[in-house]
Amino acid sequence: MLLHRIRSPRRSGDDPRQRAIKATMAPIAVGQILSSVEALTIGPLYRRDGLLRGVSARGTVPGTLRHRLATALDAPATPKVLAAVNLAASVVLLLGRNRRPVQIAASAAIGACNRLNEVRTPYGRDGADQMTAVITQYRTVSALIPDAERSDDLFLRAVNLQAGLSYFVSGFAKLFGSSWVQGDALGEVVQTQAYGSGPAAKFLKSRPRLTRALTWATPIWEIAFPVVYAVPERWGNVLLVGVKGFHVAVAAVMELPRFIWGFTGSHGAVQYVVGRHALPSSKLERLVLTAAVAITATTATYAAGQRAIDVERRRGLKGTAQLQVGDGDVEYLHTPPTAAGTDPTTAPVVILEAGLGNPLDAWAWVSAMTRSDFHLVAYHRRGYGQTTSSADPHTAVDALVRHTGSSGPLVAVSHSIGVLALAGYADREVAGRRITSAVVIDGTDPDLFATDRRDRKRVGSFLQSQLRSMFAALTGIYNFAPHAVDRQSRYEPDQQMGTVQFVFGPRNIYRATREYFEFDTDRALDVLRAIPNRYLVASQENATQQAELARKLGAGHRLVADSSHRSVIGYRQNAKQVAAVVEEAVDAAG
Amino acid sequence: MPLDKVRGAIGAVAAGALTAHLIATTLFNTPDSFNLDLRRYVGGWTLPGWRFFAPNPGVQNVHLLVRTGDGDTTGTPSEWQDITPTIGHHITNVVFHPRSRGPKALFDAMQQLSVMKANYSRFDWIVSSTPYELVTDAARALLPMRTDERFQFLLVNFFPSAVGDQRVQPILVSEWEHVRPGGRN
Repeated sequence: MLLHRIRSPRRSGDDPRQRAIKATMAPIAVGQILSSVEALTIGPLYRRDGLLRGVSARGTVPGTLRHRLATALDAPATPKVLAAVNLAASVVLLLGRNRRPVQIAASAAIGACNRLNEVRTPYGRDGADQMTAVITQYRTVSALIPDAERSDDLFLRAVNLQAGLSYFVSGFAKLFGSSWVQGDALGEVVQTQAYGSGPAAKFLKSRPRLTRALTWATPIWEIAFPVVYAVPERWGNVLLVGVKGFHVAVAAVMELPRFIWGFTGSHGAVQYVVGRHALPSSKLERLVLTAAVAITATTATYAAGQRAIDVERRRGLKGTAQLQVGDGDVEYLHTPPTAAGTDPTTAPVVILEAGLGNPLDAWAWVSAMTRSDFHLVAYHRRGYGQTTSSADPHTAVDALVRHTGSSGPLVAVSHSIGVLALAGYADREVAGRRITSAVVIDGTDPDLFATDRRDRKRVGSFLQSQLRSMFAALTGIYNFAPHAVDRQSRYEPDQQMGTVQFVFGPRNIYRATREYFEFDTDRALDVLRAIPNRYLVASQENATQQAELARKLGAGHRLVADSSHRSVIGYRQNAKQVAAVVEEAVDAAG
Repeated sequence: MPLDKVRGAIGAVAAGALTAHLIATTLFNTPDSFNLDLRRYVGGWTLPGWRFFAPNPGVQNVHLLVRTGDGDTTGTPSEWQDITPTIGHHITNVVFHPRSRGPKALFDAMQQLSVMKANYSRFDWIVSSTPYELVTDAARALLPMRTDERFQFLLVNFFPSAVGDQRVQPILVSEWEHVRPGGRN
């Protein structure tokens, strides 16, 4: 019976376009009636001390028209007025018998109320509000097209694209989430108060296997949503019934009823496209997808170009050098002592070990801030940057120190996970002698690191972070979107660009992912404790953890206030404090 | 005839706006938080974010705690008290759930404050931000007692599915704020 109704839902003489619009707008109207009544029942939340208070007047200049309008919008009574208007418009939309002018006017009113509520406060809104805004605003904007047939067609196609996008994006983004990939997400969500108290949540909580299976099934069907366009119409409609069932289930488990109406409304437009089998030849869909692909390809090409420019810079006069070690070259930067009276053949040598996936440019400020009476050697470990040698850190450092021509004392300075690279050779001779001083900057605690690598959730989080970096690298988004690497580093332009382009180099991301699993942690603390002079510099971000590591190492401990893990060496003022400790370590080594 | 041309032009602009909005929405919805605010290219038109519960779902309960005191170091403040707005759960929530808006607003504000903290924003910048002001006013309204002059709030994430000491994650401790609205610090 159900299948029969899905297969033949039409009355003769009905215009399929009008029928689709009705199927789109009716659920929106019902959802908005409920939403308006909801808004009218939570008055105290709109008060000036309520969580849904208006915030639009913040930042506006008192006395201006904008300020007066925003203040009126923020008033506690305004959302009730908007709810009343929205309610009236929704009733008109529902009872308007699909008359086009009525429908458009009601959509304009609902869309305007939705927008004003959003301007009033961005807090407390959900995905159903977004879909409602898309549908009602698209209905209004498309009505400006004089040809009604063309206007309605464009409206339905545009809503269909948003609907398809909403499911596909939601599923695709989940593949970047370790808790979805590992099957934990839904089980964890239903344990929360907000989303785990629906009548069906208890059922799921008692069935972990089912919950895990549903966790995996959710992104799979969401990504597969475009299948509805490829199968015969009746099966496409059956699949859409399944999707509606999903929204009902979400309401039952997570108490999110508004999603049912917002997304069921968009299905009217999907059915329209499914029914016409028009997707492959549609101009709108082709235009949108082609433009999106073209823009992404452009940003990806631009990023590849930027990385190539950075490689050229490194090969230039102010760039890095190469030293053949074993089967290939090691990329390094050697800054010899320049202070008057310093003998370069006996001056101390400071070895700089960078963190995971980071370039030697990260040492730019520390190098610039230290005295010039010792050698500084920074390099890229195997697989990073232009290093082609497969030599391990000990072999590479041994060769680099010999290359300086100095027989002076050795000092090692490491940032982050670089301390584990250092621990790999700190108990061995480097160019015929041992390291006598070490400065650990926001170092990775070997014990915690070992624990993390045994914890599948933490390993999952790490891999997720690497995957998102790889996505940003391949699409070139990192050149346009804000990110922590850029925000927490303020080098001179060349080094800043070098750092960003290096960190988002696909090869370096891949290498960092492998290196994470390669470090030996078993003897690391013992080896580091055997270095005669030990210092630790902590960032504010990891202050507590670093204090504990300093205790384990028996190291002097210094905190760099207001610093993060990266900015502790990425900001000039922080690097100055680090440089002072390095100088102390050099003096102790001599 | 000229009127037709004007209508045609308006129609073309409308179709162009819809297309631009769709393209911007597609580009905006990258799998992770790496994205650019593309609203500037579509006249400020809000772009929907479709990454529901992704890449990582919110799996924490947000708790708002307050304590009161005289605001300086001489007195002993009261114990922290949990004043998180509660969500009444009922079978009708499946079809009609107005009480979810308040906790969602608190969750949204807490998310913004968490991001600010994670980015090492200066504390005075956090204190002057919209979410801080919102939570301060809400906490003030929910204060269980008003005998002291000042109060402080604490935002805490509680992860029910985490293990042991990883369950509780403090996000932010506020400055000492006046119990009476409009009080000066």
